[in-house]
Amino acid sequence: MVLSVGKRWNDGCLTQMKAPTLKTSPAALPFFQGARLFIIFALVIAFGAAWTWFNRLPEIIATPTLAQPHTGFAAPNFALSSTTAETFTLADLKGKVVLVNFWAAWCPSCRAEMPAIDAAYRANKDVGFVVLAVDQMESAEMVKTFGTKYNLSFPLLLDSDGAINRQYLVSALPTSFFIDRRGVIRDMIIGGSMSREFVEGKIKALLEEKE
Amino acid sequence: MLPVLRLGPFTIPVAPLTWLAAFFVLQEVGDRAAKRLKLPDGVFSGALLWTLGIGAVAARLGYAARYLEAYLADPLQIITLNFGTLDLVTGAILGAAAGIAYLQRKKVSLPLFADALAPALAIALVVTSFGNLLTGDAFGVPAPNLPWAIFLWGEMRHPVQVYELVIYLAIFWFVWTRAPRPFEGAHFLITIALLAGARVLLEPLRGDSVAWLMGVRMAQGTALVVMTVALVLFALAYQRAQWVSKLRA
Repeated sequence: MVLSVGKRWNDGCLTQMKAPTLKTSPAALPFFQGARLFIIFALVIAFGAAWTWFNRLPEIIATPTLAQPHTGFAAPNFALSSTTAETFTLADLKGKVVLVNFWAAWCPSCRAEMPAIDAAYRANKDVGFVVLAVDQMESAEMVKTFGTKYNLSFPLLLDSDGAINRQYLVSALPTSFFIDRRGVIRDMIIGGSMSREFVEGKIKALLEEKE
Repeated sequence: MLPVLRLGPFTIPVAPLTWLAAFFVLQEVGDRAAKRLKLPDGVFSGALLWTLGIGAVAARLGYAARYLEAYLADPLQIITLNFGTLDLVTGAILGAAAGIAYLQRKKVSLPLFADALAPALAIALVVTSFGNLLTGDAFGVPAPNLPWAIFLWGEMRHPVQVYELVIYLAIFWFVWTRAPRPFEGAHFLITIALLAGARVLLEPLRGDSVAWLMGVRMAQGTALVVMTVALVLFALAYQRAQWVSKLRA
């Protein structure tokens, strides 16, 4: 016995749906008797396999680029000076896993996650992990004092006019971008605070990937 | 695009909000489907909560086991509310085991529960597709000459999120109103086969595919395997149901 449940949408509203009982019926598919069922399913699977095979990705695929950052796209390049007057260019760090962290000293969540990021950095810097902590428009003096107070070992970059914060569309602090060895953004974390476990979990998988 | 909502001093990412909405819809529709299948009251929600509860704890413990050194240094991190520190495979396996144990205790068959879950799963995916449209995730490949292309991430692209939303909605409608049910668990297998089939078809239009073995797209390859397993199980169970029916006759 096949149960007709075709009038379920009689008033077009899910909340008004009636609830008739659905029973099983082994004869519900008269067309699919005997070997016919297996043949049809085999054809569907064969079509799926062929479609999958013919839609393979090319071996070398150009990474799409965008002016703004987004997961799956190449990270927009930038060059900034650090508190030690060294210039860091993101494009030069290809081959390494990079965490770009936007922060400010006044931001409580940023202060809370800095020690965790530093612990993850110290544990993984020898295997190709780099942290670029981009401060949002604060004085070099203040950023330097902050770094000393928290004993931070990664470079603290100065975005004095906020241009890189704007380029990365930073709408909340902290905001972090995990970038793989090919320079592609793999994850964006808006808000905080990230724990050391969280950072290590994110970067371990990226560090295991080849360039 | 709307990746975050700004409410005064708070910034709320939209993606987790759509997951919450999807869960709410899943539970609501699942409860209604459970009533149709005459499952005892509250069993669907109960099984779902046990699955998610145990699954969440297991996922966190699994994650902690993988990064033991970091957690030993700061053990309290194990109880923090952080969705990023979850081992989803461990969570899924142990969560499913907890759900199955709950169903056994309530003497409800797993295929019957799975049939109630089937339409709920399809409609929950409709919600997540809408969420992807809001956030711009799961975007399509560039299609500059496509009349219905949408401008996203600097280019005119296939509106894959809309394709997915429409297909999932059609699958929900079919499973809820038209799908045959020759044996218990049939609706679940039909839904899984259709959802996986939709992914096999649509994945080449996605702009964020990840390459797998020999360039095969990971999501498409996985969906093909899932679809194959669902169809084979359906065919075998259907043959068995017919055989049992003939014996009884």
